[in-house]
Amino acid sequence: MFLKRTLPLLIVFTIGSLAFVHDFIPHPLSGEFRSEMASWMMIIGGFGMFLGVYSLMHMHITRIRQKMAGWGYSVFVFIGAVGMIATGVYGDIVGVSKDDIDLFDWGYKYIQVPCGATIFSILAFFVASAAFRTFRAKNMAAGLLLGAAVIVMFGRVPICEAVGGWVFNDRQAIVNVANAIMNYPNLAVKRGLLLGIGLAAIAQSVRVLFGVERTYLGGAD
Amino acid sequence: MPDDLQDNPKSIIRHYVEMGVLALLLVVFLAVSLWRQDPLHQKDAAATMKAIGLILAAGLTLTMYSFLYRDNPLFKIAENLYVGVALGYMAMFVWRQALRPMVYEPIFHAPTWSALQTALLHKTVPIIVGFMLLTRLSRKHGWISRYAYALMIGWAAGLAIPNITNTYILKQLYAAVTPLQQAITSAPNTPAFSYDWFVGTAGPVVGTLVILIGTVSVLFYFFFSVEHKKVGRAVSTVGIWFLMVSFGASFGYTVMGRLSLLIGRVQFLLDEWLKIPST
Amino acid sequence: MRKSAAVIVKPLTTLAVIALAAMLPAGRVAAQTRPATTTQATTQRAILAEAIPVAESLRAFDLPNDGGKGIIVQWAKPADEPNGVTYIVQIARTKADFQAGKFETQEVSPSPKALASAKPAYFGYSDDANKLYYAEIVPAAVFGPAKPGPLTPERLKKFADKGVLTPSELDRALAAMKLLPQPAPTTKPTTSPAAKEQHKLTPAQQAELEWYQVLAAYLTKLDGEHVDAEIDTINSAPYSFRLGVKLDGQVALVSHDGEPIVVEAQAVVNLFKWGKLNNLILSLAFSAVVVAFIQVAKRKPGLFIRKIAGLEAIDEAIGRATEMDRPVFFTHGSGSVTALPVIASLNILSRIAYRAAEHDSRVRVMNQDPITTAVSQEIVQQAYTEAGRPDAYNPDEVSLVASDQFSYVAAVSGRMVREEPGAIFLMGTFGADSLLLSETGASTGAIQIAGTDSYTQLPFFVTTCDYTLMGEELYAASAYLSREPRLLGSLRGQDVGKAFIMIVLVLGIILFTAAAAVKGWDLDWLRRLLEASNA
Repeated sequence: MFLKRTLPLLIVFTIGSLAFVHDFIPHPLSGEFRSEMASWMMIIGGFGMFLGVYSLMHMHITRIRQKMAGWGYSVFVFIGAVGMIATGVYGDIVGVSKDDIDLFDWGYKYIQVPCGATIFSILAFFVASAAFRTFRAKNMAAGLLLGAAVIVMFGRVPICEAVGGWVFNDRQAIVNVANAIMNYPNLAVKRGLLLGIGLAAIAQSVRVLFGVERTYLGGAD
Repeated sequence: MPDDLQDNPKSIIRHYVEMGVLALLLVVFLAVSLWRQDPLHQKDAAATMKAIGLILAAGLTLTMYSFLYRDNPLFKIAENLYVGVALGYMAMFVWRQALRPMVYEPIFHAPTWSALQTALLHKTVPIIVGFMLLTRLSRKHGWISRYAYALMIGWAAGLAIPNITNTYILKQLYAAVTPLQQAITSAPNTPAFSYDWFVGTAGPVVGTLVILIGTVSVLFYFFFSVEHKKVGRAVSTVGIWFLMVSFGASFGYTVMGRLSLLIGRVQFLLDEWLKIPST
Repeated sequence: MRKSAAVIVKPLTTLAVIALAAMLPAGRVAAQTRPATTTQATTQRAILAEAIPVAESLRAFDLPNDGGKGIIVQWAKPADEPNGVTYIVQIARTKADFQAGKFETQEVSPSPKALASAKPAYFGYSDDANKLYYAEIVPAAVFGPAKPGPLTPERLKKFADKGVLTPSELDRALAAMKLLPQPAPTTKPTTSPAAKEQHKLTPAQQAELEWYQVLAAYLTKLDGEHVDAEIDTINSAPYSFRLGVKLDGQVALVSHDGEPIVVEAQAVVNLFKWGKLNNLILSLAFSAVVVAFIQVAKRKPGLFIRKIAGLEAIDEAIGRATEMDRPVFFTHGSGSVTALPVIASLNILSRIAYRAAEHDSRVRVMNQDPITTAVSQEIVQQAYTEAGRPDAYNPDEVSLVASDQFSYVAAVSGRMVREEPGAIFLMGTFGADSLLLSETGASTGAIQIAGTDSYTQLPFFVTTCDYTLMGEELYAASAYLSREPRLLGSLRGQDVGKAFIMIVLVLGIILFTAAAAVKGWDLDWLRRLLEASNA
């Protein structure tokens, strides 16, 4: 019990208190402590990478071994991961001269980057479908959301100036309204949310430091 | 063929039609790629690899979009390949940025005895904690990994308190209390109820009051220990309205940015894969 | 105030003019610029004399709130500041050094940035700060430390003397040094095959050379640390300062009785960032309130907490997934385990895993961060054990599915479409992945409950999910779900904090707005109380 629960909680409290206190001390030692801890965290996080690789690989190996539905696709995870690690290690040990092709960089540039950028760009479609979903909900809240969204979105496209000039006799009318929504109600909500989140996050930190909240440590046995 | 399709003849037909179209698209893609990129007749290996890379990138781009229609074998291949490549990249990145310069080189490549001593002095504890983390792989000794979480979470929680007080509380509070004063003192001297007066004086003053009402009502909406009844209900309803307007505004604000991402990908396909200059 | 200043300024200006006149023939004032007629020079001197700051106002003191790096020199802004005037601060190690001409100079051009009001962390918000100039002096920037030269055999021996190198390492280093390609003595590049042949090294020599390069990098790093230590020494010494004004190349020093005034100061290693005092007080006070309410709640359990729809719906969602015989999906988003929302979401995961184990439905936790994965495994295993079904735990169902943001989206989206979960929980830190995941999830028809404090992503969750825990509702989850008195107590403490903030907000606005109407009411104390400072 002591080793599994109490001691980890004592470590949380001690290291947390030191982290809190050092932030108020301008002494150079305090800065050194901070950078030492930052390097500790990077090293521990680095070991975490092994856990991650193991977890993902284990899941796919199990799929392949048990011939679960779609197990064949799991092979591609291995092709990607082993390919990248092998070319990376080759580059580290043997070295890749300027004239040669670094396959590690190649894989990054022609597989990872385009895939990431494409997935990111799918948001353009999803923004539209999410807006449509909201459109179908007929209540006050959804109406306000949609109204504000349409005005602000419209305020950011060039045509709104022409429409503003034509309808309101002021080319900046729609832009002004859009800006007012961003500068006033939007800012108010951001502040309210941030203040509330701030208090809640501090309360949570206090609960963690004092060991009131310890789910992350798992069970006592 | 997916299991759930087996009993439904319509679905079976659709499945085969879709697979046929997919195969056809793949053939068309390869033909267009060979025509535009011509990887087999490049001047050197680097140019060949670039052409192959562009074909692969374009293929992956189109495959990722195919998911918008329906999950399909090509997407499954692309997804798993992408996951694998990203994992390999992350592993190498962590090795090159953290483990090699901070653990491997200082200890296994220490140039002198004194350098080794210094490295051991600073690295022994985090390395031991790092190995403790790895005990998570054992069901029996997994609890030892708690020491690593304790260290990381303790550090983060302790540091969070002053940081959050600074950025989430003090900065917001200070920014919230002064604008009305600024709106009044910096108001231009314009005749009351004129257009300029509305824009320059009344607008900002009303705006700052709106901010005050919005902030307070949103804060009140999140009160947990008060039941929202009567006045409370009214205030929290105002809070919800504010929340919705703000969410809508943020939503609308990001749409254009998201569209430009899509335009970026289309430009990639046109400019680099198909080699059609866009301007 | 204004009257008394004038009373002081006038005689001092006269004194300064005399001092200036006394100094000019001595040649210490650099009157070396373009030739001027006598009348012009006299006018200029008179203008310069007007610009000399009040002698009493010249002060030098340790820069507060720092680790012993800087000194502040401050002086009053003269009543009349001629155009084109600049201030010069002369810095010497001792008073006597000024006589010997051994001093350095730092120039300050008049601008709002040079006024003390630009640095409220040191000078406060009162109007007086607009009447003061200041210069922040870092002695090491003025009297820089000697830079260590390139590695030579002599320097290697010095390192050996200090114990950095053992005798055998020194010998090895000296031998390896000889293998370094020597710079060609002639200007012609040595391209002859014979010269190239000379540079060909055996593998053993190559290895020695590589070792030497690692050693050189290590020693350079030590040099850097040595320089840092030297900088600290330089900064911590006492220094003397003089102040002057400069116009068209002529300099006049702030003097008294014809003698330039010298002020002294020494940078001190401070132990507290006074600028963050408000932060400390607020942090401690709020923490104390939370702890106090935890104590209260322990004695008086059953505190009221209003209904939070998103949390109420958790059981319903799991129940539905069980009825439909579909799995429950849980994602933490992109946060590492040290992110506070992720810690909060782990509490919810614990509850969901427990419920799911009771209902005999499957939970799949999909992570992007390795350590979050490990902690999630621990939690789910524990929840299954507590629900009496330890055998149902499968680590492959609580795993890392991808290692970066968008591959994670691809993997989770694929799984959502293929496995058609009955309920999806998106709890933690989210970026662009929020809408990508929730929109795909919505298309599968699952009940979706999201929770995040990433406020920029809330609009997307609100539009695509059935329930959204907004901001602090996510943090309230552990208390709400477990109904543990101590956690409920901390929620009550949080509400007290919120009430306090609302009062400060309203009172603050009233006070500041009132201050706009009352002249001279600068509310310096209130600004200091609310200023977010890092110093």
